Amino acid sequence: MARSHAAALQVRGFGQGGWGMSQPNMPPRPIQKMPAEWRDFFALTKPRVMTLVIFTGLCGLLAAPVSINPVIGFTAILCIAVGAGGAAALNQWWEADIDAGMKRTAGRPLPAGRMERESARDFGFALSGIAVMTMGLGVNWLCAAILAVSIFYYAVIYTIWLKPRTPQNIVIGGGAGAFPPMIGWCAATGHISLMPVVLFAIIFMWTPPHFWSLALFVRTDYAKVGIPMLPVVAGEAVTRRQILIYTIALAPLAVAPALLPRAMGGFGAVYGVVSVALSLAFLGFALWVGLRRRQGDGDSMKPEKRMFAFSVLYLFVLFGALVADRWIVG
Amino acid sequence: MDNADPVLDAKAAEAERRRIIAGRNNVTALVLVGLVVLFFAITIVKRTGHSAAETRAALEGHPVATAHSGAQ
Repeated sequence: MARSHAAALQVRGFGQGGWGMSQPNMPPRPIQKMPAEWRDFFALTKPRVMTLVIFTGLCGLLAAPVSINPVIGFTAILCIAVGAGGAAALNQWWEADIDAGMKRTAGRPLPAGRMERESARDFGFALSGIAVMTMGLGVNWLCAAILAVSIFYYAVIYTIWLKPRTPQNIVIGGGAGAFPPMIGWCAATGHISLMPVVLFAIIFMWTPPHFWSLALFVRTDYAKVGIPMLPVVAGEAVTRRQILIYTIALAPLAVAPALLPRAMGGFGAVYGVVSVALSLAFLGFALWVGLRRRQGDGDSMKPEKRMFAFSVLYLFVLFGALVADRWIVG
Repeated sequence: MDNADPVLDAKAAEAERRRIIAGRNNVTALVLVGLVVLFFAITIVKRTGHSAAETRAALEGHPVATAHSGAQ
């Protein structure tokens, strides 16, 4: 049966017990909503965001200078994914009201009324707990600790504390998405060295231009729900300048893994060439977005949309190049 | 005005509810089975050493030839 039918039944007030079918002479029982489908719980984990998290975590794991048992490697990636899903569920539990006010997020399970808020909260806590415990028992407790910190960082520091308070929410909150390659590296090597910190820094510096390019073309959505995103609070001109500044700062960081010595886990020419090419392209987009002005209300914001799309590709290719370099150059 | 038969609608709602719960139960069972298999595999790996070669050797009954890596 289609989900829309189920929703229609809910609206009419039918559900568990409905109108007392087995006891037709009894008065109607209280209205009870349909339970949420497993697909709604899956949607709560933000699968598309999770793809990037899994990919960067996997790259951190595969780019480490030591090999890892496939079972332990799989466990590490699974835990990163489940932990990210738990954090995403907690994020949606907290932001259900905000999500309802934005076109981009209004169809999510909570604002669409397909799930109780408490279910999302419990699901988020359960996933987070299972991920951290499995990581600790199956991989190592340092990875488990970093995973726990990353979940706390995203669910509490970013979602609850920073996001509704400061236009720098994305800058500081970007740390949450920067942990996966560090965890992957730590799963393979058992410790944290300079290289995973550099990988962390790359994602940290990549996050502001990525999100602010999105925020530029969904600005009205954020303004409507009172989230102090930079374009809403400081205006478009400041945001465009900040995109340019962060992209310039990102470039040397992106190239740094190729400049570090082998003994410190450094990478070779394959990564070096790819990172330079990608950084130049990203700088090109940042210049395009940073130096232009909106052409009235009818502006299609094509450069901003292209920069947002390219930023995703940039991270995929950059981290893919880390693995390719390790496999080709050694 | 809604002309739908309340009895038929209630039956449909009940069937829908059962379908949703059955789907959730199936997914939960799959996840639990997956976790059991994963923990079984982790236990074998942890008992036999962490490298893939060591695990293969141990599973095939050969003596473990290489020393355990401290990092892993």
